[in-house]
Amino acid sequence: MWGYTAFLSAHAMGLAVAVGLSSVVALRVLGVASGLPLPAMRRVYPWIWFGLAVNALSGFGLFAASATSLATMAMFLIKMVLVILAIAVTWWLGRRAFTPEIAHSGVIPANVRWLAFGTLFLWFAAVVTGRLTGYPFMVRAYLGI
Amino acid sequence: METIADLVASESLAWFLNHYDWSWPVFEMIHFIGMALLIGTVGLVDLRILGIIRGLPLAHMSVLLKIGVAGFIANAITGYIFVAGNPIGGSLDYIGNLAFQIKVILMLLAGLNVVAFYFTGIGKAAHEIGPDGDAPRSAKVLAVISLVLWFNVIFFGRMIMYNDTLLYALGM
Repeated sequence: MWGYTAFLSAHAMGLAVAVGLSSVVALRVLGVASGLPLPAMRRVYPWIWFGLAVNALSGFGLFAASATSLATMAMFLIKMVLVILAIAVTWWLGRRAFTPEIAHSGVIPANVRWLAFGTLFLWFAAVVTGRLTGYPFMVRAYLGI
Repeated sequence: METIADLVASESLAWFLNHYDWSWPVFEMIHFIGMALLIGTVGLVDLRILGIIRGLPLAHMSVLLKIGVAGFIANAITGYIFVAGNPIGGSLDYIGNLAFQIKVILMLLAGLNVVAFYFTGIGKAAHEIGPDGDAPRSAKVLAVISLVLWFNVIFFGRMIMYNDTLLYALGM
C-alpha cells in the first residue's frame, strides 16, 4: 500500500529535479541569468542524472503495478519515446554547451541554442503526455488512440 | 471546515471544469511544470548556498528565483482552481483532506522561510560570497529548511489522492 504511493511521490520529485534543473541549464544557454558562468553549469548535470535515476526506478515500480494497461496504452508509449529523446538531447546539450571555445568567446552557436530549445520542448512534451496517461478514456475520446 | 469550503467554492469554476473536461488535465500539466520550475530554480540556489554546487555567484541567481516565483504563482492559481472548482467532490474534498491541509501549512512555512531569508539580512550576506565562497551558516540552515519543506510539499500533494493511506498510517 505504501509502496505505490512512495513510487508516485518519488516519481514526482525526480521529475521536479530532472526537468527543473534541465530547464535551468537550457535557459542559461539561451541567455537567462547570463551572470552565471556557463562552464559552471556543468556541475548541475550529476543532479539531473540523479533525478532521472530516481524516475527510472520509480517508473519501473509504477509500470509493474499497471503493466497490462500501460503496455498497450498509446499515450504511455509516446511518453516513453519523448522521455528517451529528452534524455538524449539533454545529454547532447551538456556535451556541446561547456566547450572551452564557448567559454572563451562567450558566444553560443545557433546549433547549441537549438539543443537548448529542444531540451525545453521535449521535457515539456514528456510532462504533458505523462499526465495524459492518467486519462486514457479522455485521450481515446478526443484523440482516438 | 465546511464554512471554509463554502467560502472558497466557485460554481462558475466547477461548471467550467465540468463542461470542458479536458481543462482539468491541462491545469494539472501547468501545475507540474510550475513545480519543476520552482524546484529547479530554488533547489539550485539552495544547493549553491549549501556549497554542494560551487562556481555560481548567488548575486546573479535572482533571475532564476523570479522564474521560481512565477512557477509558484502558476501553481497557486491552478491549485486554487482545483480546490474552488472541484467538480466531483466539491471544495470540501480538499479543505477536509489532511494531506492537503498539511501541504498548505508547509507552503506557508516555506513562504515564511523566504521572508526570513530576505528580510533578516541573511540573504544579503549570502549574496556577497562570490562564485566559490562559503555561505553563512544561517543561510545554510534556511536552505536545508527550504529543501525539506518543498519536497514534503510534493509528497503531501501526492498523498491528497491517497489520504486514506495517510490516515491509516497515522492510526486515524
